[in-house]
Amino acid sequence: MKRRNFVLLTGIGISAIAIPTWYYKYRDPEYDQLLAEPELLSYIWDDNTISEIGMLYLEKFSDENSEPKLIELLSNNVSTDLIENTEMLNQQITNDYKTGNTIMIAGWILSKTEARQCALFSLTQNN
Amino acid sequence: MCTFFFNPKQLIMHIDARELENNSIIEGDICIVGAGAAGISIALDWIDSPYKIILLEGGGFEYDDKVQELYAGKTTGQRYFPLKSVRLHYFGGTTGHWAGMCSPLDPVDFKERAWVPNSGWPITKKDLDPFYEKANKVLKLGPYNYEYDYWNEQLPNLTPFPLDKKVVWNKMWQYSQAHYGDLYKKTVIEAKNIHLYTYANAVDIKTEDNISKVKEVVVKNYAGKTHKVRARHFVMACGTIQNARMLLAANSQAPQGLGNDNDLVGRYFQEHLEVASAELWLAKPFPTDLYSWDYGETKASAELAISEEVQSKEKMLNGTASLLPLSVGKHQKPRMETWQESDPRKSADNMFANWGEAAKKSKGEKGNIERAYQLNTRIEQAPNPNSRITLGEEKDELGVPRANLHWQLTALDKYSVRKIYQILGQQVGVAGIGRIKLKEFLRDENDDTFPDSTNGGWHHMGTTRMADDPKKGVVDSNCQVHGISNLFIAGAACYPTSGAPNPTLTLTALSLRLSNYLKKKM
Repeated sequence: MKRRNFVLLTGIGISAIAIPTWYYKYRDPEYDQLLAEPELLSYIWDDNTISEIGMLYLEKFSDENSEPKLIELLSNNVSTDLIENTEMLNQQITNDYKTGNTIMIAGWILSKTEARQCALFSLTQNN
Repeated sequence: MCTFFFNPKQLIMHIDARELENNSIIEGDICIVGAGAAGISIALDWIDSPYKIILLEGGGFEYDDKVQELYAGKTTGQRYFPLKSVRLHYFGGTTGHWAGMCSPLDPVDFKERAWVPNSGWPITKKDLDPFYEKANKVLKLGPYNYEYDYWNEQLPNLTPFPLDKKVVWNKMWQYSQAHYGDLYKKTVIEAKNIHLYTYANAVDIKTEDNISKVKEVVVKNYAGKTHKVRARHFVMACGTIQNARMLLAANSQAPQGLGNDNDLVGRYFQEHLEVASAELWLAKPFPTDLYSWDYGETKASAELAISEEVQSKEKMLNGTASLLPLSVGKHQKPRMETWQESDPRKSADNMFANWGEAAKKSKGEKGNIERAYQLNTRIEQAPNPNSRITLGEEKDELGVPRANLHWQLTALDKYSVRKIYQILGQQVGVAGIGRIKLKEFLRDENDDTFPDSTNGGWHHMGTTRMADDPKKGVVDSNCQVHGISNLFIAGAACYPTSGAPNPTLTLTALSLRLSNYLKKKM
């Protein structure tokens, strides 16, 4: 293979791997900001507390420590419509409490969904 | 002194046993030992009967530190209040400073529960209901109705949290202002058939007929006088610790103590665990008076209770959560810290001073905390034979061995406290009204211990528990000591399990039931 072709192919190869990786990991993902706003908790806590609780969640569930992952988990069953999103998130949170899909963080009994919202919020704060 | 007032209609008599001639013999039909809530309730029930009732009180009509000292004893195990400070030793007993909180036990409290070892009463709530109704009157409460719907019609602004009633219900309370010393002194001393002897401390119980019958109770006082009281029936109404102590100390004829053939007297000592356990943070203001209590003002209010079905499903004890504004609660010290003076008056002063300070500091608390509450547990203690009263080596000044308390809690106690808030956390979440935060000591599910700051309610129960089988209990379902035909125990010592509510209403009802039984025997 000619040197020029080798360099070209190598570059294409690296790009093929690096660009999606970068895109996936470091881009600002586009998502409904409501996903990172735990509505009820915002009446109780300030932003710092929400962020701290989010970080504690991520310490417990390190495999969820990325925005895309959390967005994926939170977007499950959530539509693109803004009003519908809020209602569906609230419904999901209520359902978490009904089914026992809860978690205790710093003594707080939280729905898994709203704990993930806190986690997503903390990541957006840190970026 | 002997106080004789004579008028044409009646002879009014109160006798100070210090003034009697030494070695006097006092005789009557029924001898009630102890003039507290149980003893006075029974005495009142016999007014105008043809029977002579002897009512013995160790103290006088006012606090006397020398008499109070007779209650001193050692404690081991879970940290506890000084024993001298936990009951009042004068006419009226501990109603002299109680908060007056009254609510009946729940039907489940009487049942044998597979998940609560040694649970089950030989009577049901229905058996007690007629006497609860009478007890409500003695305690100057409202009607015997503890249903939320009833009180919601009587009082304004009792809006409940929108929680699933099948899981969490509103357990109603009424509040008594009855301090028996003030309330019933005149009635008792003016009753022509009630003979009240003050400064008459029971120090021994003598039996006859092969320990099957009590012959006499020996009383003493600091004046150096000893007297004997003879009656057809004897009712020990000295409180849960003293009742057990007296039975154990009456060991001149029965070496193990009276009623103690099966080594049960003094065992199963129970307290109510009353401990700040969690916080409820509401998302929005929720105006209601249902969960608040102002001393002397509130007629009825509620605590959040867990349904019988859920208790059964979760295999937990029966308990409730009361609400206190967090802005106040966060500044209050545990009572187990402020109530450590052996003089109950000093301990009370310390506690109230701390409460006053907390109320003052709360005024500076602003923001979301104004919608937050401290959740205080009130829960039964699992019956535990190792939680017990025994006799100490040391004797009091009248020669009676002092009572020692070993207060021992179990894993079921801790599990149940934690479970209440896990359930409340879930239900509050479903209702979407706020969130629950557990206190540090409840967060580790593997930790079965209680911190030193854990409060008791100054409620003593269980040391002469009731059971049909003498191998399982000290008294039978009529509160008669097994094997001793004329010896009865009145009070919370007879509770096999304690339920969550403060004991006075139930012990009054149970005492009135005993009184009714005695009437049939006379």
